[in-house]
Amino acid sequence: MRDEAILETRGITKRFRGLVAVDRFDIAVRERTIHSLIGPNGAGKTTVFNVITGIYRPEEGKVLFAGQVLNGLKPHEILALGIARTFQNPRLFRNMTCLENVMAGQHAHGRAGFWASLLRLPHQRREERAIRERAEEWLRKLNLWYFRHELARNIPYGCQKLLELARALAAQPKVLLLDEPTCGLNEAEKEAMMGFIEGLPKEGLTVLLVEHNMNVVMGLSDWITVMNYGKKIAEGTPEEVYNNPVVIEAYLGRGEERAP
Amino acid sequence: MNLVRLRNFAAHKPVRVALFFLVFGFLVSFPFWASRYWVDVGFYVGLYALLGLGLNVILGEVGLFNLGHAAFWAIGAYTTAILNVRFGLPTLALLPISALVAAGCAWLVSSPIIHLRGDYLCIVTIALGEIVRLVLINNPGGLTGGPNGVVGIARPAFLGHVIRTPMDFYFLVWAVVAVCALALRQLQRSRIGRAWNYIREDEIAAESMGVDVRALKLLAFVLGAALAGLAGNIFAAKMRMVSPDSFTFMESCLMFCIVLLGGMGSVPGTIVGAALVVLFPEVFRPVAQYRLLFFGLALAATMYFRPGGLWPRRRAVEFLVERPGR
Repeated sequence: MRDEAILETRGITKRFRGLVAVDRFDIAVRERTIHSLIGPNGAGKTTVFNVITGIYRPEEGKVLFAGQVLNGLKPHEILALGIARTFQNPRLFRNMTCLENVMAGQHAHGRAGFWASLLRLPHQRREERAIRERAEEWLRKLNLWYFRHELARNIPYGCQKLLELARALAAQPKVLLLDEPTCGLNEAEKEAMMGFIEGLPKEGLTVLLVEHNMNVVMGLSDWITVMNYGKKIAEGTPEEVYNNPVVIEAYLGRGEERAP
Repeated sequence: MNLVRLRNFAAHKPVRVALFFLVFGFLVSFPFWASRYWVDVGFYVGLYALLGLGLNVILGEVGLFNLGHAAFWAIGAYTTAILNVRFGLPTLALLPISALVAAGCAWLVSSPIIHLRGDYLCIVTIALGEIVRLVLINNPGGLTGGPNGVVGIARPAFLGHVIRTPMDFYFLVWAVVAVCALALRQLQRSRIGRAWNYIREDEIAAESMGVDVRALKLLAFVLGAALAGLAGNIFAAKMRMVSPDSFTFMESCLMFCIVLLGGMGSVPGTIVGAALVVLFPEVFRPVAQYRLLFFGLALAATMYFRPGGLWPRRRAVEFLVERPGR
């Protein structure tokens, strides 16, 4: 149906003891699109992220990135290939400055080893300068410049979410996995975050988005995959999904009951 | 005393430079006006600073709970003792070799356990420390001399000058401390040092951001052990004998205290911590029976009033002050 997928899972299954968190799940994310993964709480969305990024190993199935099988690779190797992520609750390096946090994104692209760092060889100094300058660029782009020397744990929650995004973007990924980027943000921050995510495909990025906020999902997505109890129950364009009775029953119906 | 204001004051560059020269001048002139006894105490401050710096890489920078660091110290000391006494290699030349042997052993023993987290790693490292000590007591192959240890280590000689007096050893150990402290500062300000801190702050986030957690943890372990190996060589040279009694679990605990007291991941903090841990028993000699009680109280008080240690690494200011040109 959709062939130019850059990121694909084929029949992945992840079990925790008896619980099947993800059950023969397929998803195909097309290049330069915003693809949303939605579903009720506990549907297995974050587990899919953890399988793709190599934090969990699936019992069955394959994860493919640009034709390459990712199974068995470690998280840092997967990042180096071009898949970066953010976390539902920001997992920042809390006792380090915002600048240092964003510099983390470029760790995988750095070359300087132990001896070069120890002796501060010329190429290491050049690389350090480049890493810092690129990190500073991202801080400016996401309006975090003011906080650059502040410890990550001291900045407001909304900025922490942005900082995590900056850190992931600094890794220069091809695919960006965002786990509830607008969760816990106020309206203004939500707008800013959405505006930013919307512009990413134009810069060549592919976004896989987990999100609970329907306005965000319907407004941003090119394609939506719905999952429940670890299985894919529907997929399609926002309109198709919005009018799909299976989805309404599984997700939107319940969502309306506990209005935000 | 307003510590915050004091630290803000100390963050200014001229103040830091002045402070550096003050401390440097004190350390260099100390053996010329202090008594031999206090010069010896100064030597031990330097020795424990070296051990503390090694553990600081593992515990302070990466956050790996290693309560068996004395094992690597012992390996360094015994390497020097055995190679010098049995094979006649010069003691000072064994300084780098002891570091290499300790580092190699650290790589061997930490490879299978490095993935353990927090308290699990802690328990295994305690066992490691005890295993090394018990192996030394059991005198494998007649090499370690059992409970009596190895005696008769030759004095080290540097360009024909035999290192023998407390002052000589004082300068030897502090020279090594200075080189190591400088090297660790360089690493702190590199992608290696940052990656270590990323792991300490959040291991999952670190590996998701491209940090090879396993390789960097191993590097920290190996480097920390290498510094302990250096300390072992100097200790063996100073004592002219080594025995298993010197490398007890208590010593590992002391090193742990040094890092916690001084401030995790802080080079000057570790040196301050070492000074406290060595000076404390000296100052409280009159109440010798209660030394450990006082020691425990001091540790508890520090953790209560300054949970980050006495001299924690200050990140924000470090960037502001040390960045040239901006």
